[in-house]
Amino acid sequence: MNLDLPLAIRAFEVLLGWSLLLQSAEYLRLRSLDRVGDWRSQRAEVPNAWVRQGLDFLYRPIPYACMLWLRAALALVLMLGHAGPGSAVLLFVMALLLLRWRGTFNGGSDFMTLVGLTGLLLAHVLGLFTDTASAWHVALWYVTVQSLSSYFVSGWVELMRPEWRSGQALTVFLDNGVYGPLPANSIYRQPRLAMLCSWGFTLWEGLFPLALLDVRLAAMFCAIAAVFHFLVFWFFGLNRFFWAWLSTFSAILYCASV
Amino acid sequence: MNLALSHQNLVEHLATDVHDLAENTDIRDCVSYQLVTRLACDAALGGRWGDTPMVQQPGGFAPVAFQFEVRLLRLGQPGDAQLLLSPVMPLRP
Repeated sequence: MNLDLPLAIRAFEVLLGWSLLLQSAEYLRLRSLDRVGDWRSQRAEVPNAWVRQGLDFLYRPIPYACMLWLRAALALVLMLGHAGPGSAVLLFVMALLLLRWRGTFNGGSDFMTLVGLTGLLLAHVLGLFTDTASAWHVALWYVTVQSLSSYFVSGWVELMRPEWRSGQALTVFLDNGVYGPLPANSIYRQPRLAMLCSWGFTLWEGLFPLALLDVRLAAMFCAIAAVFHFLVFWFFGLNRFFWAWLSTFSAILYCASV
Repeated sequence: MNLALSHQNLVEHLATDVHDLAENTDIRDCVSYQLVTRLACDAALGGRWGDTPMVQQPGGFAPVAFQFEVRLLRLGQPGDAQLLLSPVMPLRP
């Protein structure tokens, strides 16, 4: 059971493209839904006058919508396997969108999307100087190291925090779900069960780098991660996290195969 | 709910700005304060995150003003700390 390079690249492109497509659709919809983000206030945080004027133009309704549609189109091109260096550079530069949200719209998922885009850029730029396979090899390793680090750091931060070790943080976290706070008699309010779940997640995250030892181990870690991110999507409505991390799994499986 | 998380980040940003506020500086000049004010105004006007109302409001009355408060709650420790209490502001839909 190994993931070869062509399949890993295709899976990476399709999943990253899908993630970008969904995000672009969401940004398009947010134009009418969000009444809080106001560029007229936010522009004061950009110190350089030239940059500010450039962004003033980009964030006007029509250029902003054009940028989002272009991003969606490029995401489709990526999914279809036709993205070249130009598309990779454009998609990377369009991370500028995040300035509209003061640097991050959804924290970790934006970071992981940026990791995927950086990997794509690396593959295409390095491909201009060396063979395509070597360039993609470097790019997928870059994505893998970033993705594994995100779980590892998260696991160890939780391990250091007493509220996570006791399971108390998990209950508070679950109280903020889409469907409202946990019922008073929810099993997750039982301290022992909350502590057990909390330790389960902490250990799984902290041990994630072991996935590189064997591709079967990597498949198991990624499968658990997929379920974990899906539960976050289900309970908290955070779809971006699911797709942003899922797009890195083909890179992890490839790196564990070589 | 992605939008709700974005708004939560915004409030956390304001909390950091309050904490780091230099002397003789007015928090009202901070962009984070201005945006959270818009958020509170939107919530008072019945804003929603998808199907979820930002705040539960009893029906049958139309608010004419709003005020918001930022509090720091510490897990496992009793009580909380008030970081900021805004003035009462008229609602302008």
